[in-house]
Amino acid sequence: MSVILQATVISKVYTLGRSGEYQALKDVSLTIEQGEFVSVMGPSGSGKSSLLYCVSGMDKVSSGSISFAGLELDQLTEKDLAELRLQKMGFVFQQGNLLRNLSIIDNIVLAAYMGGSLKRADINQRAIELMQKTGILDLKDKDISQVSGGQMQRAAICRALINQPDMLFADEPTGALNLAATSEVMQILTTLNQEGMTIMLVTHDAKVAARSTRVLFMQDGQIVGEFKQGPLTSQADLPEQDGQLEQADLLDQSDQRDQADQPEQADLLPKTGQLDQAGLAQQSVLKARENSLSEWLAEQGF
Amino acid sequence: MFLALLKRDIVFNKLSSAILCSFVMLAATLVAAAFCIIAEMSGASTVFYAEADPPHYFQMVTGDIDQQAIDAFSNANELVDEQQTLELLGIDNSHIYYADDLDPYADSIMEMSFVTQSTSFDYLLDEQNAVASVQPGQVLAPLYTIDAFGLAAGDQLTIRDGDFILILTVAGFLRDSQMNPSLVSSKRFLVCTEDYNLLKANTGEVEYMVEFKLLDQSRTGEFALEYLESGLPSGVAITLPMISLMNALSGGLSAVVLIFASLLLIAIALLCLRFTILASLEEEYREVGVMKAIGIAPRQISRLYKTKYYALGAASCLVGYGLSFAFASFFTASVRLYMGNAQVSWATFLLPAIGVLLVFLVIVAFCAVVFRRLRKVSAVEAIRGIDQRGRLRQGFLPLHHSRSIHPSLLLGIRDVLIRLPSYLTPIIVVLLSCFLIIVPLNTLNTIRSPQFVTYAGIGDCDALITLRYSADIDRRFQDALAVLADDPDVSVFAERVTANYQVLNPEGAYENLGIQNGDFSIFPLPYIAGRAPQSAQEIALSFLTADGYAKSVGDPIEIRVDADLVTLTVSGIYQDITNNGRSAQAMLPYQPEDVLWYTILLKFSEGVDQDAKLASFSDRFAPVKVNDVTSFTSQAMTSTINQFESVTRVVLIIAIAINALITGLFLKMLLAKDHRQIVIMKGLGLPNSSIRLQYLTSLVVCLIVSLGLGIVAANTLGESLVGLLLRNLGAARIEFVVDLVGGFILCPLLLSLAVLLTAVFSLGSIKRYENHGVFE
Repeated sequence: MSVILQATVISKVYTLGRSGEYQALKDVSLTIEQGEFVSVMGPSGSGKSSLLYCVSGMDKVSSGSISFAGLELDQLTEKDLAELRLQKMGFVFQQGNLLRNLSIIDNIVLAAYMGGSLKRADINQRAIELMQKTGILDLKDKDISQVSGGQMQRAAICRALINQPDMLFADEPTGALNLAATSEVMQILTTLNQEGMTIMLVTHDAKVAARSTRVLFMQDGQIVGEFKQGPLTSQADLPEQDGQLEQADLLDQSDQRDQADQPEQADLLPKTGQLDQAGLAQQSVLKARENSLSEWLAEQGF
Repeated sequence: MFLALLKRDIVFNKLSSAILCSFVMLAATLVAAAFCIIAEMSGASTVFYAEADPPHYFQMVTGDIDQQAIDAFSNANELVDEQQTLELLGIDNSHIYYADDLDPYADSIMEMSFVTQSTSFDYLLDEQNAVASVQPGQVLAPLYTIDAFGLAAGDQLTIRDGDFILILTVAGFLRDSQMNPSLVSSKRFLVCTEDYNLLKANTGEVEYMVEFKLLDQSRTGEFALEYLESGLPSGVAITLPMISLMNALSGGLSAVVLIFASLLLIAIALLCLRFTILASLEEEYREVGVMKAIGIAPRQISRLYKTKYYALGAASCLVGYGLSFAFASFFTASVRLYMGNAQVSWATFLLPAIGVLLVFLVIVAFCAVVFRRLRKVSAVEAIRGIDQRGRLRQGFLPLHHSRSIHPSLLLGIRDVLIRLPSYLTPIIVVLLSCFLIIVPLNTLNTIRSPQFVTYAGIGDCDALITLRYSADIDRRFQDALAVLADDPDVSVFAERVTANYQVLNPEGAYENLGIQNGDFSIFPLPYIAGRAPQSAQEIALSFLTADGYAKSVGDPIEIRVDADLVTLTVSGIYQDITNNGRSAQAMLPYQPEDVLWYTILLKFSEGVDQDAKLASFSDRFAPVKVNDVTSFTSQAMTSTINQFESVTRVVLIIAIAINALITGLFLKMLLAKDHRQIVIMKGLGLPNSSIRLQYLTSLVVCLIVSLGLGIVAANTLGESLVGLLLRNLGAARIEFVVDLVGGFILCPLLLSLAVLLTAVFSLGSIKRYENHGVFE
């Protein structure tokens, strides 16, 4: 597989007024290959979000270099960086961070309209397909104040995907969601990754990180550990003793309000209440991966 | 604890605190300055009148007078306190040469007189408001000559009549309680007795001012009647209230306009204040929720916030109070020039302080209204940041329905429509600025236009020949008529003879009124009611005459004609700003000794070189005045035109500065409020230029709306306001002659440039917006 993102010995220092400086990243190096799903974990203030925003070009590094899809970010002007983010990267922020004053569909199409390379009718069609896949099509004309946190995050994912980016960056996308919404959002990201999308995700939650192919653990601005677990579809790492997960447990997690919102054609989501054998198996695998990850994290002192 | 919280809050919210303070300061400065102008004007006129001691009643008399008869009347009349008769030596403009000018201002409509200082009252004052005195060889000139002829102290004034030449040095300028305003068509020069006698022996014509100081000023009307019935010589009668009104209207016109402008600027400042308080409260909305949630009583929360705004408001008001004195002195320069300095009194400091207190009370009232609204906020809603007050209409002008418009343009337009209350501040500021600039601009254009002559009671003609009283006035008039009748270059002309008549006023007394007689079907006037007189039984009155006599069209009016009392019917009412606004038109017989002046109105034939023709008439009829109509009105309105010019300039500069300042501050607040949204857009990959374009579009939408409304308001409401202002001058129904270039192109262009250039500069800060903490 080819490398899509490479950070080499990057540091980030923030100036804190008169009181001095704060080093958020200390000589961090990182390589992400195409198709990978990398989670970044660590305690608060460990530099997870700083790493995500630096490698995505949203923040400038104090030293070191970053290349994305063969482009050296420090060689690009601010305008070129913006263009790169617009066309090649997708972002999902904590709490959605949709633009107020725009309806759900307008939030989704805005970035593509700005790109200007596609016809607006085609962009609208693509937005509708994405909303259909994520189960929010019937909310397309709603105000952002009229939808739940999970629905807003699904809209944010549609927005991130509208320009068919090469890589998706997600900063604690489930940080403000309940269990059911978390599960839905993560299922969408998992499916996307299975379809080939490279994802870098920052999270505190082992259940979320369990879906990624690789977990990086950060502390004091440095990557101090790495946990590889392979794609979620693989049954190879399923420990036998952890394979028994009752369907009832899964159903308990579902939020009844959100269940009512599920359209039938939401391809990226499991059809709640009708989990098939494959789905049940995946849940079992997830539980097992979460346990293994938790053990590893405990070893890291997390 | 409150103080500690207050200090921390102000330090933490430096930007919004600074903006709030700037606006309060601006409002306080303007209000205090307006009050300062009022105090200065009233103070200055009190001092001025006290020093100049103008007469309560006087008659301008030409021809010989019998001083003994006047003395006998004065001694016998119980109303008279003092009487004096001043001699004026009227010298024709063609004999007066100003500074280095080779030609005299022969066509000036001003009647120039040379006088010596009065002995009892009605003093001419110097620039220090002291009773003026001159040395032989010196002259003190009226202030009017500074603007009109560019005269300066040290210049020479030459009086030349045939072989006689007298060169005087201008030692300074005079404040004349009666003749300061350019609307008064007589001006006095002060010379010493020796020079006066020299002049009198060689040139000019003597006139007299028979002046009275009365024991009871309120009985002036009664005295006027007794004077007229005494058989003493009478010409034009002037009373102190008329003098005061002319001074107030003329000298104070710019102050009136500026006070009016200040009021509008205060409205702008208060709007900004409202925006700032609401915007900073919006930022504190969540904090209010948290405080409510932990059980702090709403009253205590209100007290906490109110203390902050009261403290900031009070501090800014104090600074504004201090600044207002410098600001006001800039605007009262013309008052100081014409009337001198006001005596420093309690009013000088107290009136502006009352103004500042008013601004502070407005802040208190704002806070009361705003915090009452906050009391209703539910703690949960506030913490979650749900503000039910402004439900946004996100479905409005949907982006995904647009086909070709650039998304930034659409977002900019939508933003104005969705957040209209926020954008009201720049909209109203630009609207008021536009109004403030265009109204004086159009007024100026109207006064300068040829049509303005119709407000001077003169029909739409090309030129005007005026013959004032002189010994051979009738012969000269007949000469002129004969020349015009034979001149093929003159297509049509009409004679008007203005003579003195006695009219019965509503108090039952007779008073003098100059009535024009002639054929008014030639060069007709636009009448605001009725029509021109068509027979000897009809009379048309000027607006102020009709107002003074409480007459309207169809009413009878009694006039003494050749010792007979005749009743005429009012046929129409017209506008006239000359002769104190008091005139009338009729077709009455007159006695040569009653004639005040003759006027000939004429229109040239097609293709005639009017300037050359006017020059040839000037030579042919010298010393009779020949004016083209535009110069006639522009001379009468010199001071008004000058004042409007300076007001327009000052307002333009202030408006542009205010627009730039408010746009800058508004955008700073808006960008601070939208910080999160901007960072999100940047994060998504929207270039800075697109985000800037969005805000610029919003401002352009605001500009289009506000400039459109401003232009409409200036040409409708503004026209009525100027009508109200000029009503006392005699022009009750002004119709603007619109300054197309200035009003429709330059003013909107300058305001737009001020707003957009400031915006481009302010929006540059978007580049520096980073995501620190926004996404966490």
